[in-house]
Amino acid sequence: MSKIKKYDAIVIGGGHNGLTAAAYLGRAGKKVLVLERRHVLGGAAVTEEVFPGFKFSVCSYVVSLMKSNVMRELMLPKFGLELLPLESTMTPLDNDYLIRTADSDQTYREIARHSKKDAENYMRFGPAMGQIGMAVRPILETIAPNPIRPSLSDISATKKILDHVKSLTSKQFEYLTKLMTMSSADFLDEWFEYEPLKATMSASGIIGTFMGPRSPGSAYVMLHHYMGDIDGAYRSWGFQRGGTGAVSMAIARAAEHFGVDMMTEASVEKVIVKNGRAVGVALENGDEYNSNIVISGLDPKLTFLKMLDEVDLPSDFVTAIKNFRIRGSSGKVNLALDALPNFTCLPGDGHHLRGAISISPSYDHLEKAYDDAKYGDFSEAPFMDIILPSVLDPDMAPPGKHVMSCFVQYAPYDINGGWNDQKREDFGDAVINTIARYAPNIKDIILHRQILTPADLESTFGLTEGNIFHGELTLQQLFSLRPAVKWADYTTPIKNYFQCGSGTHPGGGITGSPGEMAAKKILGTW
Amino acid sequence: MSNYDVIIIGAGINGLATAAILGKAGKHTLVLESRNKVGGMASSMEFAPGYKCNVFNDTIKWIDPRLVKFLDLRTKGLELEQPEILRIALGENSEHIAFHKDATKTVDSIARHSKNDSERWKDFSSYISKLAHFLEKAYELTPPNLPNVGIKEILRMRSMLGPISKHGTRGIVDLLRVVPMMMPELVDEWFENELLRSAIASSGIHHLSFGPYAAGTGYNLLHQHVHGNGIFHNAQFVKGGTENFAIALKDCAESSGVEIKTSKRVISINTDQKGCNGVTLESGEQIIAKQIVSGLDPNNTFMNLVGPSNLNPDFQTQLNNIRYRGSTARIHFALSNLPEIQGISKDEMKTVFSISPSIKYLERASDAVKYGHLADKPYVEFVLPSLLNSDFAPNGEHVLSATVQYAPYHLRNTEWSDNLKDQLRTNVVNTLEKVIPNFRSIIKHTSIISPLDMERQFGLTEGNLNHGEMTLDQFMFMRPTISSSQYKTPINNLYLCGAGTHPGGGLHGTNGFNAAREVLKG
Repeated sequence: MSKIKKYDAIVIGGGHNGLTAAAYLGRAGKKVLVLERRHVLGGAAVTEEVFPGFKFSVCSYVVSLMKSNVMRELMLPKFGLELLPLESTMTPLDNDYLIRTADSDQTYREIARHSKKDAENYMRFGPAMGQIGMAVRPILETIAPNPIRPSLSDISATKKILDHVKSLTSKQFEYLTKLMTMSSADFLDEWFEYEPLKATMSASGIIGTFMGPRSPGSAYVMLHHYMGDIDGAYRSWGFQRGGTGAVSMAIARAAEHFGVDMMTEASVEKVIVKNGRAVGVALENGDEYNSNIVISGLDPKLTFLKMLDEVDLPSDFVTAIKNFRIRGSSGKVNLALDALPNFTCLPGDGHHLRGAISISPSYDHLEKAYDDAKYGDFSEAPFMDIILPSVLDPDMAPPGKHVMSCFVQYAPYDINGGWNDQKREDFGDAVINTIARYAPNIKDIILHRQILTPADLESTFGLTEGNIFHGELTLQQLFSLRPAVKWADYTTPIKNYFQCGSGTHPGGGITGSPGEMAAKKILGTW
Repeated sequence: MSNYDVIIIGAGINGLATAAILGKAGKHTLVLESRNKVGGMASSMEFAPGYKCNVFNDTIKWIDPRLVKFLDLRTKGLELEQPEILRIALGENSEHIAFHKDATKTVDSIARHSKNDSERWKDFSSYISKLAHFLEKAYELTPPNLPNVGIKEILRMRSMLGPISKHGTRGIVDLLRVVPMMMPELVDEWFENELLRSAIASSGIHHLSFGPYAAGTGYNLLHQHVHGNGIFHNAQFVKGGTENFAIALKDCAESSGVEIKTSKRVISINTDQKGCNGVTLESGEQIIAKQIVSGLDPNNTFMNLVGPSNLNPDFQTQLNNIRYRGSTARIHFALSNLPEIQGISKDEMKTVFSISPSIKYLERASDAVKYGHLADKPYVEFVLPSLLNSDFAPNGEHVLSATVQYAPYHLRNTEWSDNLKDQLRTNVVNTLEKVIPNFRSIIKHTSIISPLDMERQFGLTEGNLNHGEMTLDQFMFMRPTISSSQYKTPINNLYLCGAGTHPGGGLHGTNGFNAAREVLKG
């Protein structure tokens, strides 16, 4: 039974960018419908009670990149956005540890314990990177111009960016060039000497990326992660009370406040195209909804190759989307724990459990993990970024119990022999064994474990190949080339069909930025 | 003692090119070379009694056409020979792909492996040639002083309008896509046959410390195809050996009054408040000149010859951050017979061979650099120069010269020694025996040049053949550093003309040509 009802706009996918776009359009008085395939909104920013009493940020697990103007304009704090700062980053080592905390004096002392020179440089590094973050910001906030057949607004956007670049100092420009092109290891080697510090810092250059810290290109990913902006403070990461799903819920409540309709378990099969225009969507259950415009929050592969028929698209565009690189490289292991893990290097409770725990003792550790994946296996001793949300937010687990979120690299989507149940368990074992090297009690306190391989991320969350950024953050897939040239301004070759996911400029992370900019572009042309 | 207008340090290709141009422009020029002959990276040597080799480069990918024209090199004894087959990529089970001068024949060779790929070959090679066309024009420029670009700099870059109007902004977009790519990303868009894919990828890792999975290998691949006339794996041999290119430049320079002195090692570039004013030789002799041009790499030029105390700290930091990281070794074998390679006739052997069965093979070889050891199964490229130059080996005998990646300068838990060289030889011989079954039995002599040897004997910092890695962070306005990318340096009257400047390494003379232009501006 198809209901006949016409919306101004339909958004495919209730991930945080789809919801953001919907909220902005609703705020502008448009009648909007969001259609989500799963039973829960949030996409990859979702909280679920995976085991009774244990709640997990199943997929994306920290928030830092959320744009402050989005939070303000959508009144997100009023609708439940509450970020709890992560207090530290701790790198456990075999006989020692490295910890950096929000207290810069303490961080200085801790780093100086390993290297005085690094401690000094660390104090200069943060501000330098912050400056570069600021320098890149206007570029991230510009709708990417079309270089093929530029319009007046494309030319003025280009001119604005060039003027901005000219305003940079030679040193800023030098750093920026290096960050755009180098490996995170080479970049950090110019600053630091203590290996665990360098390795841990370089790790933000590999997250979500099929590269090692010594791969050129990883410095840009590191910069991307340095643009974190909580309440205007650069390079600060936070945990959302109630899990990252609560970010999505805050945006959803804002959208609701602006009159947006949202449906879950409403899986869109196809965008209906008539005479080269999108006119609505057809659901898998046969329902059809009409609208003036359709916006996809899905990744570019799904947005174009699944939601549309290739024949409706120009062939060079189809080629470009097929060539869009979206290799998944990471998995997620969520653990329900009976007690807190006890780290040999720092026994008992403390700051170190209230922040991120990074399994990154050396570049070699990360590179070897990458090598495993490069040749088609999951890492035997992976890199991990671990947090214990229940320490910061006791509601995440039953009293006295805990949840532990392990972001794991590398796990290739194209694994030798393909993913199966056995391999998934083996992958989980590799993760537990690696943690046990630093916190031997882990094996005794696990009540349940949820293991998500890239194949699971694809089938559960619709992330093609399990890529958490909807497409790799390589130079040739940024800005005017994300996801394809001519169509990097949220429009598509199909009239009235738009895109607003992380596969568009400025890319992945819980930023709200693609959703916001897409909505602004749409409203600007409406 | 006569005063010179210009002293040039180093008689490599770029030093000689600069000298020849300045001489022709009437500058009283002196070239000082520390070795006992000119040539630098183009040198030949007798590595065993009766056996000669091109020390580093058996082929030349391209020579700057402006240089050829300005110096009229064709009439000055430079004879280039382009073989019918430019490269033969050897795979496993004696399969191979031959890259011909004539693309139609390359298509036939590829078709034996993949029909689909053969149909795409011509499109691919013209695509690469289109993108290289942009680099050709960019290479003629003195890099702009970014980010402070004024109208003057923009006007100077007007030569870029040629390729832009020819290929459109679409061409620029394609360039921006391919330059930062890693090799698998590029070949995934075109080809399915692994031998072909890795034969292409091998071009992207040429003389690099990175493997094919490194972003930016797209740029290195395009660099190899500048002025390639649409021919993929373009290469030329210099008649009589690569050194003859240097000798032709030397003759040019001398015929316009340039003095070239060998066995003269410069130990310092002398400076005063106004900048530099001359050099001191190892003998203690001081020579004065209005301008000094260094063909050495930035580290040797500034750290060793100018001296850190004469450099400002920011510039020093930039210099220290230049990555050299040599990872290529050369091995020359004197052979009692012509090697036999299955399916390849003697005539076809006047070419470059490469052994790279798969991209993963190349990548695994490159992993050695990360962990600081020799590649067990290295990437090997080889040439039989004695087939082209009969005087390279006694009658009936031959020379095989191999370029080996990866043999890193920076090693862990070991250092370059005779033992390690033996291990390198074993690894290379094992690799060669896969394609030349009786190879071991025909070896008479071996000469190994490790990155450390390159540093000690040829003054290449860390044994880097390009005077600095050919990566995007060391490209154009960043080469060698952001404050010295216009051939001029922060030291008044001191200029750079070596491969450490834009547009980087290779025996093409472009750096020298561009540098001469800046020197003449004064």
